[in-house]
Order: sequence, then structure tokens, then C-alpha cells
Amino acid sequence: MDGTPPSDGTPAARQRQQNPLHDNRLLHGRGARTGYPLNSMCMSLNDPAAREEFQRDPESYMQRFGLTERQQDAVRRRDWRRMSELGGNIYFLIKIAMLDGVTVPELGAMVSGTPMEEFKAMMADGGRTADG
Amino acid sequence: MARLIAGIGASHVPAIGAAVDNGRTGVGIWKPVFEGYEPARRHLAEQEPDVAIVVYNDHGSAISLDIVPTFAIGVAASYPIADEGGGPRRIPVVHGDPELSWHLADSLVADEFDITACQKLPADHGLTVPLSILWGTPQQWPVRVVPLAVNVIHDPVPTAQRCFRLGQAIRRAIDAYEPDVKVVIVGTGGMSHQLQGERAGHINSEFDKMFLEQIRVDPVALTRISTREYAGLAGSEGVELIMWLIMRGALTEAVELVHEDYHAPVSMSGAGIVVLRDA
Repeated sequence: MDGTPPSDGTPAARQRQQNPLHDNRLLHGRGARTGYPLNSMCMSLNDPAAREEFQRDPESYMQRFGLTERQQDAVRRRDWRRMSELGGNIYFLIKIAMLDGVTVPELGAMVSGTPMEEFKAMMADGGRTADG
Repeated sequence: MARLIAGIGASHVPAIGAAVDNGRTGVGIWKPVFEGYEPARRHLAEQEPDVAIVVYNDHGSAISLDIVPTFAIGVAASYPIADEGGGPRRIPVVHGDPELSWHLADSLVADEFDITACQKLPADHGLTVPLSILWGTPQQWPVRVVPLAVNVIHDPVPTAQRCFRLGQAIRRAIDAYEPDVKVVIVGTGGMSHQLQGERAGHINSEFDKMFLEQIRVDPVALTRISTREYAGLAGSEGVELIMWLIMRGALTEAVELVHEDYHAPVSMSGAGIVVLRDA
């Protein structure tokens, strides 16, 4: 599937032509199937009592939500990149991160595998460009 | 009869809300950003709308993955501020407009759109950050709010074209509403940003500026961009921009620009604001 629409000369069409269309796996299955147990567990952390329980006994908590072994392992190690690969959506994962005092930009650095200082410099410079 | 007096596009980046909550709007990078909001605030203070239809996406605050509506309208009398994992923002409760909400739901479904009516919808930052942007820190919000929550975070996501057409149907509903209320519609989210995966940190200011121009002069061109392309160009989280098309669809074909501004980066996003009205 090429996905390239015909050009109609409009600025929108020119934008489409200029930038490579990254295959964005993230749009598909984002939280949809594999991520459901992990994201659901994260959603439950909106409740203060649940946050306390998760911090007190994370193992039971994760099992209650039916996380897979790999998801449990990634959460245990706070491997954000792996959590994301296993279907975790950023808006849900951030609820665990908040408990650790990790911010959204720090999370972004970690899931993209970019060292924090480099990530900060990149963002200060206007963000990651289309070619990476 | 009800009148739609303005359409606004505004980012809802949480850091903007945090800047307001922590009194940092005059500090560092925030100073130019909030100076850029002033003309919009002045315009709304002059126009005195009664109700704001705020189009936004929930971010795992009120809407779980158990049931994911494509288009959800709040029909409640009020909306408590959501706890998103770190306690609720300390801002006034959002008051709803059930009469207008139900009128919209009735009208849109009759117009063959599929709407989920929500009696309970805690207010996520997607809704409340734009309120802070447009109305600052009042004791009470000076407008009633009809929340319109759109799923843009979980496949399948509605098309840009569908969003634009929904906006047009919303306009028909407003035009048929008998009470003499002044309505504004706010499309929120964006602008370009990607928070996850290898491309975390992606911002495309060129795209954002193109979008700001086209939403005014040729929104139909923006409806031809697929959600997959929006993700490619504006980042996976930049897909939120399709919600601005709901706002734009509610205005007339030709519009006047009241104000616009853009800054990047704001946290990890391009942050824009545009205020439009019927020409």
C-alpha cells in the first residue's frame, strides 16, 4: 500500500510530497489488542487509592489486570521503550511514570532511545525533524 | 436563535496548563506564548459568548479502553476536573449546558452522525487547558461548556473529512437552536507532536504553519489528508489536528481571521492558536 494520494498542487499536497511517510506502527494496534491489559492497569491509577495499592504490591496489582509476563517484566524494570513496544500507549504509561516523578519529555527520550541531554538539546532546537 | 460567533483552534498541551497553575505565564518561554493568547482572550471578553462547544480528546482520564466512542457529547449539568494520575488541576468545575447538549445529540443523530451521550465525563486536560488559555484563572468559568470528545488515540480513528462534516452538522444544529445564546466552538489539540516510539520529539513547524493557513483558506484540502498521513507528517499525536476541522466545518465557507499565533517547541509540541469567524 503506497498511500500516496494524487497531487492536486495545493500546499497540503506539497507537504505530503516533501515528507517521507514513516511507517507508523504506532497508529495501528495502539492500545488496541496487546496493550489492553497494560493500558487498563495504567488507567486504574487515576484513582489515588489504586495508586497506593500499586506502589504497595505491584506484583499482585499487575496480575489482577492480566498483564502478560513480558509486560510485567517491562513494568518491573520500568523499561518504557519495551512497554511501548508491548502496546503501552503514552497517555496511559505516563500514569506509572508520574508515580516515579518522570516527566513526559523524559519519557519521550527514553522510548526513542535518545540520551536525555541530546533530547533536551534537540527539543530546544525545535524538535526532531522529519529525517530523524 | 443561537448564533455561532467564533471558531477557535488551540493546542491543549498539559505544560501550558501547568504554567497557568504555577503562575509561570510571564516567565521565560511562556512569556511570548501567553502574550500570543492575549488577543484571543480580549476578543472573547468583548464578545461574551454564553456557551463553548469544546472539541477535544480524552487522554485516559474519563474514557477507558473498555468502551471507546468515536464522538461523545457530554450532556451533564457539570463536569468535575479529572484526576489524571497526579491529582485534579485546581481549577473551577466546568458547568455544562444540558439543553444545548441534548439538542446537539438529537440533531446530529437525525443528521445521520453517530453520537455517544455521556452523563458522566470528568474533564481531562484536553478540555481544561484550552479553558485556561482562553479565560485565564477566573473564580468561575464565564461560559457553559458542551464537551465533544473525539477518539484520536485508539485505532480506528475518524477521518479528517468525517470531522469536517460533523462540524457542518453542528452548525446546522446551532442554527436551529431557538434560545438566544452566543456560541463559540473550540477545536483543540496539536499541533504537530510525537510523544512515543523512535520519533518521539518530532515537530513539523512547516506543516503546522501550512495547516494554520489552510484551515482558514482551504480546509477541504486538509480533509484530503488521511489520518495515516497526519501521523507521518505531524507525528502520531499530531493526528489530534483533525479535531480543528470539526471547528472549521461549523463556520461558513469564507472566514475572517481575528488572530493567530504559533510557537514551537512548547513542551514537546508545536503550539498554535487561531481565532476565526464567519466572513
